[in-house]
Amino acid sequence: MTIPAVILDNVVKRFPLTKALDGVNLAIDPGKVVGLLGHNGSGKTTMLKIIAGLRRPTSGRVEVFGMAPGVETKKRVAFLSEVNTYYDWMTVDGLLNFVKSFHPDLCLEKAAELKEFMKLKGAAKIGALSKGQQARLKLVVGLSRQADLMLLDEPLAGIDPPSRAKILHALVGELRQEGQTVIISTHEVKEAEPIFDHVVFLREGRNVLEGDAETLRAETGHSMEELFGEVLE
Amino acid sequence: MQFEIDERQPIYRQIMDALIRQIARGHWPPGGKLPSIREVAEGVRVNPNTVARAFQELERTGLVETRRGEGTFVTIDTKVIKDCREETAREVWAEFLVKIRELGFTNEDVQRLAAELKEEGKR
Amino acid sequence: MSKMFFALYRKELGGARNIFLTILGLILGLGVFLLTRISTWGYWQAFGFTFLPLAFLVFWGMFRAFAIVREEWKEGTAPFLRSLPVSGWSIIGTKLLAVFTEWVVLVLATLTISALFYAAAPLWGAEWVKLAELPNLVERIKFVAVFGASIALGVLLGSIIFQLAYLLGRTVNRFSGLVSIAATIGLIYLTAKSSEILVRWLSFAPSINFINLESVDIFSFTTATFLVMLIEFALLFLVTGWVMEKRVES
Repeated sequence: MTIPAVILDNVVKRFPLTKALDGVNLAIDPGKVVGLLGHNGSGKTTMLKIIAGLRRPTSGRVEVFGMAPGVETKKRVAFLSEVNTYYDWMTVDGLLNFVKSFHPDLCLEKAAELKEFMKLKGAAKIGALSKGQQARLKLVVGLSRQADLMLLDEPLAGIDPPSRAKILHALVGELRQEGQTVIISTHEVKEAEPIFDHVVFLREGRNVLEGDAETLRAETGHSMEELFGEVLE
Repeated sequence: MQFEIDERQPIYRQIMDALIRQIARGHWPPGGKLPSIREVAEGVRVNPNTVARAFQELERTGLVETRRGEGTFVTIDTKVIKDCREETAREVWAEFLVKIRELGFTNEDVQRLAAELKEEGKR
Repeated sequence: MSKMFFALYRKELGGARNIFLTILGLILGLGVFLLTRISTWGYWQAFGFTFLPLAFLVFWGMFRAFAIVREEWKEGTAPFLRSLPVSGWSIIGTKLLAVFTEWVVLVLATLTISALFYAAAPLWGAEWVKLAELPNLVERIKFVAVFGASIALGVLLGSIIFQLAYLLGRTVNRFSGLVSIAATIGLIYLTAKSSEILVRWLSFAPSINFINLESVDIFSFTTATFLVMLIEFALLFLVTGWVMEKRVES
């Protein structure tokens, strides 16, 4: 039996005024590309941050590759935040070298290709990049690695609609055929839905619907985008 | 390989059907090598797992075989290909009949139409 | 592991470059300014002022230690930093080390300016004694070393207190600021109280005596204070690293 990439067992995350997660149960098999679908404020970011080990659940159990989130799991995880979390004063190349010191799986040749594709200059200061360029930079950093689990929080946010298809294309191209588990949160389902194996619909901190995307299509005759509208409105 | 996918239907089935059609019309000849999972995934812009599933299902039909480390090849058994082609044609025909009957066409009407269209084609 | 530690350390130095160069510039600027004041203030007065940055640096060191942690949240880089596979102790350790490196360089820069002033005294016709001819030179050097080491340890202790207080504020999702302020007061109180008790316990620790220093015949420094600061620093460091790794949210 393979160890699930992620297990969430009745995970609750309470903030002073809200409940971000309200008892989420989830098991994600390794190698899956998972769409974490929900509106803003449905708890997507909180869930990804808990898996990444950046936030602690108020209650419930979290396991990543069979371990509690910590230094060991962080070696195998790439968390790509929605907003820019990189140091403004670093250059693009400086950042890649910095990340490589921690993640030997980062391939600089791959990074060079991706920089070219994303039209980013290695010598550019991160603080001087536009929002869209920062969003692309994140993907360069994430896709240059061979992380066992990649957590992408709204990867298409800040990227202009014409480029989205191109970037999804690159994302699909870089996915490893086996082993790599990817969780992508988004509220823009239309563009991204063909790349999901598994979808999780999140509403008010609960996963209201979950399943294999193809099975859901066969059973309901709906696209994930239509289900998104139905389940979450 | 590129085509528009319909997100309302299982994507792996659509990829599988597209490959079957291509094999049936000889786009991929008997014994020929199919594009890799990665190539198809990039072309159709879906995830490689979905394409892998389509290939697996396709293998089950006997139309293709996967050789470890080499890729996926169309069968050299031309009978299997021919049978598959016939079967697909029947399916297409059945779909056509359903649609044309919705317009109130009888079998005679269909034959008449076919003859007329054939004449027009000659001109 | 050491590679990661070094990468973090370099990152901290890189991130602090601008503020460091600014302070270094100010120190050098003050030196130049004092040079122009010699004719109006007199040589010894101006020389005395060259030590002024040292008083400021004591507070600056502690402030920087606090700021270098706070910036991760203020600039929104904390999620990235904390997603790296490093322990909380590595993060805190490299931050302290980087701040301490800067602090030492700035102190040395200040002292270099003072030394240059001193060496140049004859140019202004000031009454001048060669260092080697100072009475009780060895005792003086010993005194400066012990005094300097205690100040440095004090700065480190203050630094870790401010860092821990800030991080405790970060373990809650509301009223972070208030919690930090309360934690600062609480930690200072706790450190002071425990110091009293610990010093009493460690009363057997030997003293270092300085003979014939300026106006006093014998100045005695008990190593117990030093030991207590060391123990407290070590304990606070352990707690701060743990909080950084396990408790804070980002």
